[in-house]
Amino acid sequence: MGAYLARRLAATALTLLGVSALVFGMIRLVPGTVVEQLLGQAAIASPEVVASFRAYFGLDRAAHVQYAQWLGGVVRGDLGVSWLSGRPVLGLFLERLPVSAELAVLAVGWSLLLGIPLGTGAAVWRGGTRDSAIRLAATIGLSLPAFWQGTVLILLFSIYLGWMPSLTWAPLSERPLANLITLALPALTLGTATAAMITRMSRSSMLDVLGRDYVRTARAKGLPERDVTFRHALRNALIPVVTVAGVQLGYIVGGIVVVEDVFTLPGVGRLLLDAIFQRDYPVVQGVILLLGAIFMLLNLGVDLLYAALDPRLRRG
Amino acid sequence: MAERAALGRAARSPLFVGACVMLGLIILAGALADVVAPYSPTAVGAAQMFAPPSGHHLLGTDRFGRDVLSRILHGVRVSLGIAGVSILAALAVGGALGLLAGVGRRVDQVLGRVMDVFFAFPPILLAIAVAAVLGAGVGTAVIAIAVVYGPFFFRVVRGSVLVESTQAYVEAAEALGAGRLVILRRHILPNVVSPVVVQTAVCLSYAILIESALSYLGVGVQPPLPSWGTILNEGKEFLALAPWVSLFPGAAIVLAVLAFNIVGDGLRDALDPRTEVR
Repeated sequence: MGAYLARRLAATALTLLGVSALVFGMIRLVPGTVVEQLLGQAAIASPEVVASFRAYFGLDRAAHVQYAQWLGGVVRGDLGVSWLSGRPVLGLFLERLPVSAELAVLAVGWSLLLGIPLGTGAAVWRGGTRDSAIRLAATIGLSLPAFWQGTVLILLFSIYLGWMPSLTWAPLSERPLANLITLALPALTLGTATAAMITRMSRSSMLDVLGRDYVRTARAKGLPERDVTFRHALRNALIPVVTVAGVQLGYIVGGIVVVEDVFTLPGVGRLLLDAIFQRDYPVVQGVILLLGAIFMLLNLGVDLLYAALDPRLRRG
Repeated sequence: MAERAALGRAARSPLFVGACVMLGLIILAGALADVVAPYSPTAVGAAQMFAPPSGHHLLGTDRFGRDVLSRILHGVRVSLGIAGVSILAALAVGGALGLLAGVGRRVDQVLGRVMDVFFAFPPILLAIAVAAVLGAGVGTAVIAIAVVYGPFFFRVVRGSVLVESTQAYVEAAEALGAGRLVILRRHILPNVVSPVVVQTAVCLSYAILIESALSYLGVGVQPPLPSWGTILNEGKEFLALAPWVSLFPGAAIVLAVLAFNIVGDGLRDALDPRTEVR
């Protein structure tokens, strides 16, 4: 396990370094006309502002020097300050993080609760009508664009039925019930594709396990089919499902941007989009770097969990 | 031969056939948009603002009085066009690099590390990042999607090449003195085609989703050019007033993505022996 852990950590560190280089480099790809425009605006303010803009776009120093400096700041938690509000990017991000994190956890939670039983059922009923219905439902779930599904849900629940306040935000700590009601539709939307993936994965994993020798042995020694399915098969079938759930949690990090826009939630996705439209590049850079890092760490966590669950992998 | 038989089996599945027909109809509607669309996609009519669906405007009109059906039909070209071109670019670049990596070990290690960096981002976030840097537009959407899915093709092609390279027939060809490039072109490439075809169908569905998401968020295709996502973007402020502007283009996205997904699944079951139907 130790060697595996070390290898995996080293790979993650290397990739994180690559990610930081990419995020640093992206600012140099901003079209020259945009930079000139921004410099023009800065010139109205003061020569100091122009100088700081020139420095930010790397117009005054060599790239590797700038990168080293920037990376040094990032390691110490200094991601720069927002051009608009003058506040540190890290602070802005952490302020918005609870909303997005809660949304992500709710989404993955319901998708596991629905996806595992559906996938297991489909495997047990393989080849039948119920299996076909579940598989088709999963394919449809994968094909629904989140922004459209969210739109339809808002239309149905808020506008036609008048059930849900879709556009007002209440923090979990202050008004927990209002908070959960507000997040119900966004979490439903965000988790749909994940539920579909988990259903598919549970089904194929369960089918795989049901064909194994130890399951046949369990049947041969006369265990009731229910015990075979739940005690012997499901436990082992869930191992790959854990991986998929983890990877999906990562994809949800991306989906958050879309869902927060549809439901106007004050999370990190909204922060990123607002920053893009206002050309607040330090915030854009910082949020993308942090979301990328979170995505990677989630993947790392899942891999380690997988290794802990499946002893064969530790030696590999 | 085995592949042809497998495709024949897939062709007997009503769902697969239905999805193929649906795709054909969508593509045909886009190709003939100038003929079949009842109005010009950009013709404005002040008197017709937010007209609900009726005999004159089957799917209603938007805030400028433009016919939603005509915009959706012309949107096929934009949405499927961007998806097609970007996946083609992803296939060309990712596939070429994958072949390269499958042949040389040193190249493989370097390219693998670089691709890991791209895999370190959730796809939609990477696309948004590209759009944030380059600014909204059709070209940006194409580049963003190509950047996201290039690494997927890299992985598929590299994996297939590595598997095929260890097969006995490749060793036999090597023993007979065939050069590396000859082996690659004559023996390995044909065997890489199946997984690439499957990957292309699946990626096309994702590409449509990403383009429409970018356009919906306002960082992809810009109005007045109609892409399905742009139409939705223009409708979102008026959801309570004119839901048809948002509902119908979304339905078009779902139909197209669903069709590509079903075709992709059908092709995978037929062409990939590892996921044989049980």
